[in-house]
Amino acid sequence: MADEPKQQQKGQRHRQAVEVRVPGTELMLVRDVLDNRMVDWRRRSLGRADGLVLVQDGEGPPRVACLESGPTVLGRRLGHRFGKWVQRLARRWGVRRGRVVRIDWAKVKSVGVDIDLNLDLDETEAWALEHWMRRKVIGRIPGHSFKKGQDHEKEGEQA
Amino acid sequence: MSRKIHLERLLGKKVYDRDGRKAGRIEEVRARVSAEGCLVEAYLLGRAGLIARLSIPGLTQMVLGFAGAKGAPTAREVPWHQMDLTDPRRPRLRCTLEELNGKSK
Repeated sequence: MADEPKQQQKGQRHRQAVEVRVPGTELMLVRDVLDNRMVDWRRRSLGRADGLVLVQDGEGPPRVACLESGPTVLGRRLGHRFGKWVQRLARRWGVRRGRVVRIDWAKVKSVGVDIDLNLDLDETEAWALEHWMRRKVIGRIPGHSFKKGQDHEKEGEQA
Repeated sequence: MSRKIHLERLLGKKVYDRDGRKAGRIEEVRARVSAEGCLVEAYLLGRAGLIARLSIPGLTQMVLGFAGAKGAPTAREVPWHQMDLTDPRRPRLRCTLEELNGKSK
């Protein structure tokens, strides 16, 4: 019982997650969304929300369309010239060839300390570098596929 | 016709009113979830917007004070329809500062 106030204080220190599908919910887009970590349904990180795209159709108010992530988006924020330079580098040597990871706003479930997304990481290109590393580097190291218990399974199969 | 606006590029941009007077810098954007999606309601200008964005009011004000900021933090809330983002590099108000202050009061 004595731990309850401490737990409450701990909970208050971390911002409560806000469901973004509930009509009437107010959001401060920069504070609540921009630069927060995006996680998929298995809580695997997709990187930070480096950018946010608004779309204005005709006379209506601007609508949040998607979140963007990637070095090119971050580079653009640090200056026009620097952004172009980063984009050129990414196009030439980047694993995604300078393409930005774009997450539709409809996939956002809630925002808090992290942005919870209603998708699987493998549906996106967010881990392109990790996949490339696994294929080109880790995959070439002898014994890379060794897992605990795998040897015993093989022995059993042979017997 | 739909127009794309990159929010991260709007941040920190100086906003001028119809008469060319400075209204403040865009520091925060308030949006509300509705049936049509997440719609922008207002743009927060000035130091108060920055304080809201960093969500540590006391410390932010102290740091800004050390950096040379004087007086009470300025706060201006511009409704979305009063902000002209035809050229996102040069955001402008569709009204004058007096009209905006009259509305916000």
